[in-house]
Amino acid sequence: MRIAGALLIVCMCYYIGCSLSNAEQKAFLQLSGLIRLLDFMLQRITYSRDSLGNVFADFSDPALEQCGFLSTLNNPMGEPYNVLWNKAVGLLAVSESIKKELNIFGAQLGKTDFVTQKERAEMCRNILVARKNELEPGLEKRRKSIRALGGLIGAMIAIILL
Amino acid sequence: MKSGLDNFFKYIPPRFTRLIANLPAPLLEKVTEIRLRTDAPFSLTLGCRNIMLDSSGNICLAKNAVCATKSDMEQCLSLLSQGSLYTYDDTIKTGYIPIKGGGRAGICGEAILENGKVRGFKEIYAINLRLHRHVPLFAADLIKFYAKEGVCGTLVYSPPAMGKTTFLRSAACLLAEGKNIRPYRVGIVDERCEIYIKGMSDGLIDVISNCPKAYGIELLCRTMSPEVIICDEIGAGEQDAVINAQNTGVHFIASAHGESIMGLRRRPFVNKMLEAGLFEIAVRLNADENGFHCEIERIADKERVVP
Repeated sequence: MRIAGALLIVCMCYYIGCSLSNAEQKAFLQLSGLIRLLDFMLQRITYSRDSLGNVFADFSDPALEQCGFLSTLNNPMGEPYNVLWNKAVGLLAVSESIKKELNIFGAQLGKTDFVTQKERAEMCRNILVARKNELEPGLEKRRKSIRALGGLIGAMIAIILL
Repeated sequence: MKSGLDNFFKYIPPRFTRLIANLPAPLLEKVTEIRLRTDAPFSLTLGCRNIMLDSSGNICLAKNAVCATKSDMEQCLSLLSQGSLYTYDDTIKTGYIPIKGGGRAGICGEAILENGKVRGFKEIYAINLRLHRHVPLFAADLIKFYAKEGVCGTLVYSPPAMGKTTFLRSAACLLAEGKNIRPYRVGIVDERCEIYIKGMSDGLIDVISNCPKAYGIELLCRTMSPEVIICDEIGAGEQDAVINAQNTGVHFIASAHGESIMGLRRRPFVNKMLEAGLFEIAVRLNADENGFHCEIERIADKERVVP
């Protein structure tokens, strides 16, 4: 009975570790999706001056769709895109510092002339790319560490309780 | 007369659409412009009359009128540009945003200059939504004249907001459909996307829109071989393209702001076109309480002035 309890604790802690590791992966995929979205936006507004409604409707990314980011932008219900963007950013699992950058970009989304809009999108994209490059090399190691740490903490709790 | 007012409601903040919707139907039919100004009266233009509304939707004096706030203006701009102001950069530089389905919104405010040219507006102080109207028989008298005398170069003139564009639209439809005249191949150079309304005619109309007039005229002549070219608000810099095209045998129907032929002649580019014999007749438009009217006059009959 004791051994079964201990195993249960270890499994639960390992599971929590896996969830945290997946969240890390999810945040990274969302960050990659955002960079793709900004690239897509820049291309579409530069070459065909498409409206944001068309840009968001034509863009597809599983990570951004799953969290509701794209569906928020695709259902404006009369609200301007700067408001929608900030709402959508709230649904992301990315870090607070990235959210802050996204909110700065979103504050004037659709409310400026072409040159300013493009500059802001490029600046935001560059910041996100730099952040992604920082995160990418250690991502798998970090995920493994989180999972291992979860299991280890579970084992420690089990030993203490035994 | 078809009123395009319903189409405009989606571009105006709801508190203003409610005020307009409460107006009696006969007044609504006459609305030609809706104007929003930051911290100044919201007003409607009905032909040659301006009205202001109070918060209950009653016609009132300016001091009691509802005013638009900065946030109303931002909302209106966002609605006009579908939340993507940058898509209208080129037209905003020239002071307007075209409205989908017809009409345009004139804008003015604090301009941002770059190398002496307007790059955009830092803040918009006023928005003027101009309604497209389609009055199918507005130019019927002109078509009667053409049927009798033959199609010739025609200058349509009046002070602003007297129905020049509506007249040109009607003339285009009647000529292209061959109402009381044989059908003509009509080319419309619609620089500001104002003349042509999708589905307005099933006649022989070719349209080039959102393109500088001088270039559009040249392009139409080269590619579509029109018999008549129609363009709105002819300005300085376009006279040479118009004269060149006329020498290819195309008839022009163009409009210009002006009170009289004498006044028009004082504008050098109009005078140059008149001297070149581009326009044989002029159509003077005016409006009163009963609506819009037109008068056809021969330009050669008018006294010439030295500019």
